[in-house]
Amino acid sequence: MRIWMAVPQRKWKASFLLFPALAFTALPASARRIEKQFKVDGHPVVAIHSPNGTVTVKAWTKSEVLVIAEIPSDRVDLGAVQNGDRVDIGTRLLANDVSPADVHADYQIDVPENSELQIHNDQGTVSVAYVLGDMNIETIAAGIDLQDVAGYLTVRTAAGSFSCLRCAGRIEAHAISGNLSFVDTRSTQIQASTITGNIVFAGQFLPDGQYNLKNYSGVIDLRYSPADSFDLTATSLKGKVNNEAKLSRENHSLDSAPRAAEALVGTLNTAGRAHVELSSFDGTINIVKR
Amino acid sequence: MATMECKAFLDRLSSWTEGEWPLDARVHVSQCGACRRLTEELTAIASAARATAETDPEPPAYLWNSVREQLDNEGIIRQARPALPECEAFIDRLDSWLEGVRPAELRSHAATCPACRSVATDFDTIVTAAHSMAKDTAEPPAYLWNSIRAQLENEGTIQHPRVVAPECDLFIAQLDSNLEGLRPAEFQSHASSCPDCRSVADDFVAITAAARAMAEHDSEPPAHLWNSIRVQLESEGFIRQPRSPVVVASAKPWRGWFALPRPAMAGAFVAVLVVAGLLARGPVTHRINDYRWMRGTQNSTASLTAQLDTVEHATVASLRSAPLVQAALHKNLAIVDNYIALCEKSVRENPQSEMARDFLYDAYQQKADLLAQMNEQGE
Repeated sequence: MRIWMAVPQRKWKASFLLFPALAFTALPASARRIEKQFKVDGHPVVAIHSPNGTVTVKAWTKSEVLVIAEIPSDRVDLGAVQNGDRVDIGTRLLANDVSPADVHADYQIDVPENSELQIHNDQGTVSVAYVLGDMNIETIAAGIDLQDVAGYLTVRTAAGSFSCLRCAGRIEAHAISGNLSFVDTRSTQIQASTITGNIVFAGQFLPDGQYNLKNYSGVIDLRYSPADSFDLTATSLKGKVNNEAKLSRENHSLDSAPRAAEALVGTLNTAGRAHVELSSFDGTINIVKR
Repeated sequence: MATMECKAFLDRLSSWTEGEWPLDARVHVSQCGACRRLTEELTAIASAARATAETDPEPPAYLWNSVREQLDNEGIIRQARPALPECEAFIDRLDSWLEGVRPAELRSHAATCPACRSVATDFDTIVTAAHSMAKDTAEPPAYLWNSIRAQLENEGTIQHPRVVAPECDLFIAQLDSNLEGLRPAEFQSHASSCPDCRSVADDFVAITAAARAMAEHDSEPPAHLWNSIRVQLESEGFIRQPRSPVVVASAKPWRGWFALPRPAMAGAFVAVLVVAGLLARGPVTHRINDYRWMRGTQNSTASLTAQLDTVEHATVASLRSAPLVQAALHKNLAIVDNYIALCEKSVRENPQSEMARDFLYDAYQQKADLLAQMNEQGE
């Protein structure tokens, strides 16, 4: 019998073996707003699995994890279990023949700001704000919005778009058809790739920061201010590179110039250089002033 | 000592390849990474040719004269003609082109001017060929090299280009003697103690050896060899059939192709060297190299493709997600498959393009990741 929807990881699966017992305590009656609270210490890990719906996670000052689930259907339920500092949260099916339309739950989750997050959401949206721990987010079609977060952020989505506002730390974001956006980021390392999506980078270029943006088609927009300082390599194998920056080619030789149809190398200013690499197969790369 | 700019160096590249090494050019090469790289590529080309060279100590002077005369007769090289202002601007910025910087105006001019387009195409071909002969590994990014160089300088392993000593001046002055095979003791002594001059001498020998490789034992290149080279050049796309006089006014067939000053002639010369080097190695041509690259790529991706196909069939059959999620997965799977197909096409067209191959491997990686996601949906 398949009770749980598409649980992605073995750990996650193992933790939910406990749920037959838990189910009797968490069965919904007519109320479809369900709250659960877990006390945690140290460095909590919060794992969320949602087949369909919105997942909103915010940091607060309490050493607790508060889960508020809005569940329209009575054929699904909130599943939440704590194991030490790890809290697993998910949508639980109460029957085998639940229709996809019924498998819907919206979550609002408050976590300590140093929490580590593991979020899987197939469709809907994922929003995270003010959390400073590492996070791993995977979606199929759900969009992802991160705001004022830090840590080591890894994001993978097929069709969802990813937006990162005032993010810090290290970011790896990969999409297939989704767009990727980095605005006012203060990240030391960003690796972003999408196949057909667009990429916008309008973040800070930190000293020795590494910023690698790659797509197949679509547009890569790198927005800089005149005071920024970086070494730039931009290559589009079959597309175009448009540049507004006054780049110096001093210290750039043939070695650093890719042999491609459209390529650009150079340095903008000199102090505290960041390293920027933009590459596209068939897309357009724009280096534009903010 | 005053040095020269890249443009001036490139203008005199044909002299360089013919063994004329003015001191200012040499100093420039020691200070300019791009031009040094170019000369290193020339050396690599010459070394490849030298690998199969016969035991003749030096190619006779008349041989090169003969080759040059043949080139002239064929119209592949010619005296420079006055260039249009746009062409001059293009040539002025040819070093930018070499470094991969291709502003719109340069591309626009190359698109409308057959001669300049030929030059640009030749340079691309030459650099690509030289790179393929020189190494297989990816080049380190510039900042990495800068970091390594700074570290090496800090440790004293390397140092900045130094002022040329009088002995070096004398050495340069004796290069003509070197060309004629006369190597006085002081010449050899200085070469053994001065790495820069030794490098110059080695390169000098290597470049002249390239001409020797074309000659083998015959005092004159036989007609069939030249025809073979010409056919090979045409098939490889290094040279083309004569154009319509309307496009490029030309007194002879071939004349229009390199109707630009020295860089163009140098391009032609180096192109000949490239092909000659390849031919001298035996029946090794670009096509064969491409085939090898292609075969290597296919070998490395064939099993991957088979595995992915197997996983895809099983995964798609067991997919049990919401219709919208399934639709998104199928749509993105189609995107990835299309991505793979286009990357494979690009690799087939240009098997030695590291970037194309990188994109292909990325495409496979994307497909594997997507199938993993789909597989989770089916569990």
